[in-house]
Amino acid sequence: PHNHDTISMAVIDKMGHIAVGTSTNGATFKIPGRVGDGPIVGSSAYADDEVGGCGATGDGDTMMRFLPCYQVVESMRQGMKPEEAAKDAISRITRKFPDFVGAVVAVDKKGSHAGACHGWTFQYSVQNPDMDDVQVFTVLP
Amino acid sequence: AELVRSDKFPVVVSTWPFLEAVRAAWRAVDNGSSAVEAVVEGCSACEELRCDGTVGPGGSPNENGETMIDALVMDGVTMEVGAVAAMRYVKDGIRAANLVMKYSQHTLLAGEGASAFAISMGLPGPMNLSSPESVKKWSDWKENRCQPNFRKNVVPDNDCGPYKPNNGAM
Repeated sequence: PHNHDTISMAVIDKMGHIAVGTSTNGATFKIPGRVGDGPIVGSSAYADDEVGGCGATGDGDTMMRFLPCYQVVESMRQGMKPEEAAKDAISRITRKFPDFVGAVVAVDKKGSHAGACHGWTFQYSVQNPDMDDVQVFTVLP
Repeated sequence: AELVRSDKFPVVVSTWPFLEAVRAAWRAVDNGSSAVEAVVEGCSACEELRCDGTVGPGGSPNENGETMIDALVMDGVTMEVGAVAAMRYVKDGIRAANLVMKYSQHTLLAGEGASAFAISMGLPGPMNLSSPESVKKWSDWKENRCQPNFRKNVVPDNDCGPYKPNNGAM
């Protein structure tokens, strides 16, 4: 039932300013009126110029209870690297919901990036001045 | 503000191999667009391409067969946020979210209020967000007795609604 269900994107511009965004049409066969994590700030995405940005994808009904992207940015604020922050945010969910399926991608204000996932193999895409075209990174659960 | 100098900038990072979305954001930010503008361009490209049928119109029908849109944009400089939830009849989710951020003091608009706001601020609509594919998916699901679904502790437990609470399970 799970597929690539959301785009969540972070951009750092030439000024070093960070923005994030998310767009989705939600879960298939959801109950009318259901809102997932997509439009919830801190859940599907979060950004702070002083720290970095984060995007999330997966089972929004579960993820939105943990604000994983707020957690990722706060962990990086406390000094964690993107990889450590991403893994920590996912583990906070899986401790309570072992069957959870989802992923986060983190980028710090210097442009370092990493992902973490559970229940599926996650891929995220990056382009920066070192790359001629988009590069896809694969993250194993 | 101090200009941050790094050969790592600009950077675009996105969930999944949505290559055209990343390229659209990259083109924008590499040409000098702001991070917010680039995020909007990138996510908007995915909506137009209907990335995997899970972004934009024409996918993920709900129990009534209707597609609704959720989207969010956040500016990490000002910490401003614009978002739309369960938006009907308007296909441009991230642009609608950006309009909420730019032209209101609110953070999140939902349902038909979000649609009306987005249209009043210039986005196309109202329009039908279904596609032949989403209609087919929904009718197949109805034929399969509405399985799978997101109900729990209801009767009937393996058929279409209307549903009511299963008091034995409560």
